[in-house]
Amino acid sequence: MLVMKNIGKVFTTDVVQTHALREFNLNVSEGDFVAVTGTSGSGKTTFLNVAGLLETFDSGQYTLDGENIQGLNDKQRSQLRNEKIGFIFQSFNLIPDLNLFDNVDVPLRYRGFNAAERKSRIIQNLERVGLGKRIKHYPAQLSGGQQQRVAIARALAGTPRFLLADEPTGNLDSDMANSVMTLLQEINQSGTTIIMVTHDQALAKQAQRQIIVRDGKVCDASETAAHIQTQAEITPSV
Amino acid sequence: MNLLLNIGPIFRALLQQKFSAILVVIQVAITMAIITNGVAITWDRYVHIERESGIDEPNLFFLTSSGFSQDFNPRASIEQDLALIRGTDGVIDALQANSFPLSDSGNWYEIQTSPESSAQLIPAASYKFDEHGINTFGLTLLAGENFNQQDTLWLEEADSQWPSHVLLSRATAAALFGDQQWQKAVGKTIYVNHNTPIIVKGIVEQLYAPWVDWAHVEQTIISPARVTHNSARYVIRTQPGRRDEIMQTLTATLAKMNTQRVIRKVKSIQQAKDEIYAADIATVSILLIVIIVLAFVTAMGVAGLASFNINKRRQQIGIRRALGASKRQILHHFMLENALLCAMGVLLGSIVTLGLNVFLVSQYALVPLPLYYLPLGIVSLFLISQLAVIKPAYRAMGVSPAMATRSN
Repeated sequence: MLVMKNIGKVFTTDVVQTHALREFNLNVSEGDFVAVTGTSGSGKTTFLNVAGLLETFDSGQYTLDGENIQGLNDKQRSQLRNEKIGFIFQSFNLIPDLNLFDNVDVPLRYRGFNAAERKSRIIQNLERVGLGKRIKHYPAQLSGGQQQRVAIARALAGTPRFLLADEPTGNLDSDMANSVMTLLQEINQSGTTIIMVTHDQALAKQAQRQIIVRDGKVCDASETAAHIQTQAEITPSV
Repeated sequence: MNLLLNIGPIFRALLQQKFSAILVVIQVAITMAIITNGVAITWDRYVHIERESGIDEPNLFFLTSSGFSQDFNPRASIEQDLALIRGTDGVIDALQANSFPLSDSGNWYEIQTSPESSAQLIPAASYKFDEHGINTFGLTLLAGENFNQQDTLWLEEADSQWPSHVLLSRATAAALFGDQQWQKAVGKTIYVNHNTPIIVKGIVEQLYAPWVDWAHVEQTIISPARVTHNSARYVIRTQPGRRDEIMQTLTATLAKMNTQRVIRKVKSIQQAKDEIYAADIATVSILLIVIIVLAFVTAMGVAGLASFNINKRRQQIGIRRALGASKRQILHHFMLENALLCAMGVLLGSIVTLGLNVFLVSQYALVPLPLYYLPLGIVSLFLISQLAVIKPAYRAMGVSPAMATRSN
């Protein structure tokens, strides 16, 4: 469903070239819940940006839901992003000047749904995350956990095939983090494929599958198993 | 996606950033009020400057012959001078005149259609021209006929005698006999100084009074007379393109011909016009500069605020891009946001424009603003504002969707 073969991404400045991704290979099947972990600077966020079509890649092949990404223009990439991918960001990334209704409405408007369809989806998804009665509130009037729930509602409103989550509990306390993780698991169980970037091993363990990124590459199976074992010994469970 | 459907959320978002929104709205409103009133005043002055006085302005000049010796014979001098001038190569015609359009000096009288005291008095500037008046000034005779040589009187300066016939400008005839009846003035008797009867011999199309700001500038009356005076003013019409050359040669010839006088105040009608309208031209120029500067400053202000808002919202733009907005949709978003602010600005601006006009009319006796200036002002400000925001909006288009995953 999401297939990356030998993806390379290089950032070039006047003085240095940084290989953020090199020969990056990944295969994610429909319904997977994949946790992507790695140290800071390992290439996790670059992977997320490339997978979410937020950035282009320099080499390799990337197929999303059967569609070859290479060669798509900006408009096609925007459309694909809008229709197939939902994003959940570490700092929620709600638009502060819009109330919850309008925040969830943003991707739906770009999608071109009519007003009735949009309203139904917005209310349904805000209710799903437990915020159906607060549609006129603004993000600043909510707690961090509630804001992340709104972000999840926004990500789900367009019924995407993939949910890409970038440290979704990074800014939350443990109770709220658990509640968000529970919600993500429910979403996954309802059939949505989730790829979650996190440095939190305890969260990563809750995913069906864990991959580790090091120096812009996916570690092989034995390395991953060893890493998970080491992390399990030093990191207490949440 | 239908662009206008996005007005709702954009408007609601603007209400959350009231301060910067109000700044733009006020700036647009004030600029519209000043620019619209400024353009109206400028146009009014421009029309005032450019209006036709009814005479062949480009080919006319005048000069004054001032006798200084005790033996100086004004009448003989005028007759000799006019004979010489009219016989000069390149001169179409010439006359001696007490006054003429754009000369800024002369007399006016009240005329009426009957000697009764209840009759309406019509003010009219009085010119004394001989039968060469129509040809010298290039006037168009609409009705009746021109004077002949026998009509023309020689008058002393203090003489209060009126010739038996006059010509009227069309505006004078219309003021006396009505807009539809002006042609019927020919042959009718009118009265000057309440009870001096004069017969209307003809009507000329247009001939302005000497004073450009006079309220009845189009109302003039021509009587066939020459005034003997030591200082005689001649108006000379030349063939097109020969005015300046003849001005020089004729001045020298006249000076040589009679040494008992001096030739002075040699000036083209165009020069006289430029001098008379100098203040108006300065007003128009200053107003135009103010309007252009103000429009530029407003455009810069709108662009500056838009740039500031866009820089402040780079991550928000990245989020929108991540959520599926195309570059064009980002451009539309900011153009529409600005259009909304501008619409509020011109709405408020329309009220301020009318208010400012009422103030100007009451305080400075300016002409009330024609209402069609409002839509012109609205469209102009809208365009200025939208043009100003294009560049910042294009910059917003360039924000990468990856901005959404970068920390604040």
